[in-house]
Amino acid sequence: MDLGLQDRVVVLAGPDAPDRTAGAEALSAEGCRVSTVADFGDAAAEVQRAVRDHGRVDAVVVYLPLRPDQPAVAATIEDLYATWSWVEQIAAAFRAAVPGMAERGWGRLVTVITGDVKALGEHADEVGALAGLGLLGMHKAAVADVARFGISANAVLRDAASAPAEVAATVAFLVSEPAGYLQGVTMSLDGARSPVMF
Amino acid sequence: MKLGLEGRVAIISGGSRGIGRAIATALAAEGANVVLAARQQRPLEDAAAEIDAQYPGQVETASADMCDVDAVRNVVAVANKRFGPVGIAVSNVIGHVIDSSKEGEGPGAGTFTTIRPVDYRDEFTRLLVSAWALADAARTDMRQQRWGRILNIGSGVAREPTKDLPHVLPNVVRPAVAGLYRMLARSLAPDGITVNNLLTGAILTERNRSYWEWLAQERRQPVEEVRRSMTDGIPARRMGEPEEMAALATFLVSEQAGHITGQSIPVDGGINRHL
Repeated sequence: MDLGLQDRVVVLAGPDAPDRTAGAEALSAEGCRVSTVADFGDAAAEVQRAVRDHGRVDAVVVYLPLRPDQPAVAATIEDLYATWSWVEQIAAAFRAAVPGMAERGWGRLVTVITGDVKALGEHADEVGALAGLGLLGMHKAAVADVARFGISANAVLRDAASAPAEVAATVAFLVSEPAGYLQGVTMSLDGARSPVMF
Repeated sequence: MKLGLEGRVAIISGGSRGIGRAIATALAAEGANVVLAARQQRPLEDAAAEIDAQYPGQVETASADMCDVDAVRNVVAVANKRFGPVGIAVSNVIGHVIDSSKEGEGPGAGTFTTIRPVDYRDEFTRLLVSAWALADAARTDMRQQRWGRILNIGSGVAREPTKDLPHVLPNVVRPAVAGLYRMLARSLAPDGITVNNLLTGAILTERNRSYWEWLAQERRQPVEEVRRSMTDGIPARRMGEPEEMAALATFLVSEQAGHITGQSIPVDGGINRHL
């Protein structure tokens, strides 16, 4: 399948190297020009740098790290704020990319989060899921605002058993040309772990 | 129906106005002792006086910023001192500011492309940290009693973000609060504590009236037209009353509702369309 990604400029952000590497490889194989950044706090600056280097950014992909066995009941206020700061930083990175995307009529925002946002697993990343749920809400608000400019926002839901290469393939599909009508959706890669129907 | 709430001790944040006040009144009517918490002392006292006139000796007030963990612990201490261990905690804190003359300073309404990213943190503090802090402060008493009811007054946008309103802040934070409550429900169920979330629709409160006035200005329409167009979008063809929120809240904190936990339930006249 031709994903129509030749020369698309993509910034990938997330603290876990296997996520970024697998995503960058999959998108590079499709002809994208990719740059990666580990710290969400540097993601907006990386978007701006990519705009300077390549003249544009077509997609921003963020990977929330997966941290199993993080029950919210045992969290501290500091844990909650530290995790929520990702939402703020990711919003800044998306916002750095969106005006240019809107001008060109093409853009993709993709978020990779824990499947615990849909159904809590046995070793749930509950604290991470709070940020994940916030980002799903942001996707819905974003598409209400910018889908008309050819920009989409979608999420990949994964768990500890999801292979990075398979996550990367799903990310590449969501970034692709033929995925343009998918708006605010979630795609679960969980080997049927989740028992919920919707 | 006897709900088994006589003598239970309830904290209701945002208890001086609207939905919080209606819930406090409904719980007092069932014989519960209620502690109203809110930032401003004067409206608190007014609400308490009204409840006390109907149900003497069952109401206490605690002026507190419910986003401040220490202040929330103090509200629990006030409740303990006056009435005993807390069994019911209702979190009802408002998010972004619509009318700053009534609600104080803070981020206002906005969309994905207009809101400042830093405003997500403020909304998180208002909506999620306040809910977490009250649950956290109250659950020690509940665990000791092996009985507890934690309830959040959330919003329908937790499940279905609104497209036509500049609501990005609640659109982002409300789903996280609904998720938090689902998580707490699972962790606290073995202690006999339920944790549920109401999804508020178009309810006739002072805050919603401010919101319609604000929208009318934004859209350059008469307020009545804004209200009419919103009512037309409600399958029940009418707005809800705070007392209708309070009725479900009262049932969910009752003895009978002990097996209902981790739920987000809309009170919205049928607006919510998800299955």
